[in-house]
Amino acid sequence: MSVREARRLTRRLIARQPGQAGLIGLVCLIAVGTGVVTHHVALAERDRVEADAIRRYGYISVTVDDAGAPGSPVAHLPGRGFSPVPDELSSTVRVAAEQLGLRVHGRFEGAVYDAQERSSRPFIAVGPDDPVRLAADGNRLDGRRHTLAVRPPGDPGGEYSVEWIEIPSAMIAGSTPDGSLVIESSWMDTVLRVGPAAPDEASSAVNVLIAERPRIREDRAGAPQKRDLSPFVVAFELAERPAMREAAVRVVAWPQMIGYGRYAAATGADLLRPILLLIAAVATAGATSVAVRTRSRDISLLRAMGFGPGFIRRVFVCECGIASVAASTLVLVGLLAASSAGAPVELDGPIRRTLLLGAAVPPVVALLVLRTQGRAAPRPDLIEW
Amino acid sequence: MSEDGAVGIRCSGVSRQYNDGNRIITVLHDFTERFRPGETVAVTGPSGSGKSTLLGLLAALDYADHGTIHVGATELGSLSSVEQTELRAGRISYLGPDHNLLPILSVYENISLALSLKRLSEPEIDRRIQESLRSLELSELAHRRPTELSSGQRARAALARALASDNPVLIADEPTAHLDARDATRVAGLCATFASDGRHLVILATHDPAVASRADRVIRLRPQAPGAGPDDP
Repeated sequence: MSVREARRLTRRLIARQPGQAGLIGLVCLIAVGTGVVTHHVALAERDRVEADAIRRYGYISVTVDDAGAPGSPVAHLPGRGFSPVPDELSSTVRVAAEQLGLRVHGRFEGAVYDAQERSSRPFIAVGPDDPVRLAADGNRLDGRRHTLAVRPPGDPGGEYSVEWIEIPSAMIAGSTPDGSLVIESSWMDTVLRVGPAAPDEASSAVNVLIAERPRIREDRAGAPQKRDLSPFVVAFELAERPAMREAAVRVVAWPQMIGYGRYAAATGADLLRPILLLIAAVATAGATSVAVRTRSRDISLLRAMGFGPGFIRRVFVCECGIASVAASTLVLVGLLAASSAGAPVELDGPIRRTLLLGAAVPPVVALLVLRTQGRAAPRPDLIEW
Repeated sequence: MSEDGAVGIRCSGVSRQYNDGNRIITVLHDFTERFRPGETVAVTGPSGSGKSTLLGLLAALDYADHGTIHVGATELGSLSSVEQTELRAGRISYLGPDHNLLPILSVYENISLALSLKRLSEPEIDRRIQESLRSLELSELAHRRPTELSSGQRARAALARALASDNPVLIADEPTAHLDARDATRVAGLCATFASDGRHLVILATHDPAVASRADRVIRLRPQAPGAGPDDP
C-alpha cells in the first residue's frame, strides 16, 4: 500500500509542483556538468603539458612482467620531487631510469643527408647499445647502426603519425652533447619520420631520451615483422598508438615515472578539479536541503494524516533521486552524443564517479534532512524552520 | 473502544506549557473532560485560551506536560511517535484551519491518499470516495485541486475525506475560519450530522457562536493567567 501510494504521490509532486524537483535537477545538472567539463579541461591540460614534455624529453620504455603491476616501476620512485626546469627534468629521468635498472641510451642531434631524397634533415640519433662515441680521429662518430627520428617543424600540437623510411645507409653530420661537430657514415636501422602525414621539406629534430631494460630485446624477438625495432621505435609505437601495445612492454612517460600526482598538481588542473567538485557537491546538497525543507507543510500534513516517517522519506527521497538521476542521465546523454559526434570525450572512472556522485548526493542529503524533519511535529502550525 | 468502533476521549488534569525562550507560558492548565461517541463538542474561547493546543493534544499531534488523555483505552502519553502515527491513521481525522488538503492532489486523490492508510481494496476505496463526494455534493469537483476550490468547497472536501476515512474521532480546528456565514453553517451542520449516527465523536474549535450553537455541548476555555502553572493553588 505504502509503496504504491508513495510512488503515486512522488509522481504527482514532480508533475504538479515541478519547481522543487526542477531546482534540484538544475543544480545537479550544473554541478555534474561542471565536474565533467572540469575533468575534460584537466585532461586536455594534462595531455597538452605531457605531450609537450614528451616531445621535449622523450619516453622511458620499460619491460614489465606479463602480469604487469607487481614491481611496477612507478612504485620504486616515491617522494622524488619534480621541478619544471629542463635540465633537472632530464637529470630526473636519468636518475629514475638508473634506479629502475634501466639502460639509458645516449642521444645526439644533428642533420642527416638522405641520399634518396637528396636533402638534409635535422635528426635525433639514438644508439641502440651505448652512448655515442667519437671515433679515434676525434671528428667522426663511431660507425654503427642508428635509429633516426626526424620531424618537420611547426604544428607541434598536431596529430603525430609515424612513417617508416627505408634508408640502408646515410652520412650523418651532427654534434655530440658536448657540442663537437661529427660526421659519420652509418648503417640505418630505421628512419622514423614523426609528424604530420605530409611533412614539408624543412625538418627539425625531436629531442628524445630513450631508456630500456636489457630484456626488451628478447621481448622484441617475438615480433619479427617489426624488424630490428629499437627502444625508440617501441616507445613511439606504443605511446602514440596505444592499441598496438604489447603485453610485456609498457611505455611510461617520464611525468608518470616521477610521480604523476605531483606532476598533475604542478599543472594545477588536477588540483582545481576536486575543489570544483566539492563546491558543486556542496551547492547540490544545499539546494536539496532547501528544496526538502520547503516541503515542510506537505510533510506536516502527511504526518497529521497518519503517514509515518518511512512513507515521507520514501516520497521525498524518491523525488530528489528522480531529479538527480535525470540530471546525471542528461549529462551522460550529452557526453555520448558529443562522443558520437567525434568530440574527444572521456567516459572513464572520474566521469563515472562524477555522474554517480551527482545522482547520489540529493537523495542522500534528502534522507539526512528527513531524518529530523520527517519526525517533526505533525501540525503545520507547529512547524518552524 | 466499543464493538462498532466508536471511541470516547477522556482527559484528566491535562496541562501544556511552552517555553518562549525567556519564560514558561502555560496554555492549558489542569483540563479535565470526557468526550463521548455520538456527540459534537464545540470548544470556544478567545485567542490564546488553548483551543488549538487542546485539539492538538486530543489528536495525538502533541504531548501533554501533565495529566493523561485516553482515546478509548489507549493512553496517549505512553505512545511512541510511531504508535501516535498509527493511532492518527486508524482512529482520528484531523482538520486544521486550512483543511489540511495537499495542494498537489485533486479532491479525489486527497481522499484516496487518506484511505490508502486503511488497507482497503481499490474498488472499496473508489466506492467510499464516490459516496462521500456525493453526500457532500462534490462529485463534479472531484478532479479539481484545492487551489481551484472556494473555501467552502475546500472545507467540504476535507470533511468528505474524514467521512470516507470513517475514523471514529473527527477533530477540527477552526474548520469554518475562512468561510462565509452560509458555508460555515453548512459545515457545522455536516459535522453535527457526522456525529449523529452515534459512532463518531466530533470535537471542533471555533470562534463562531453560530457554529457552536450547532454542537451538542460547548466547552469554554479561558486564557491562563501569566505564570500560572500546574503547581499553582
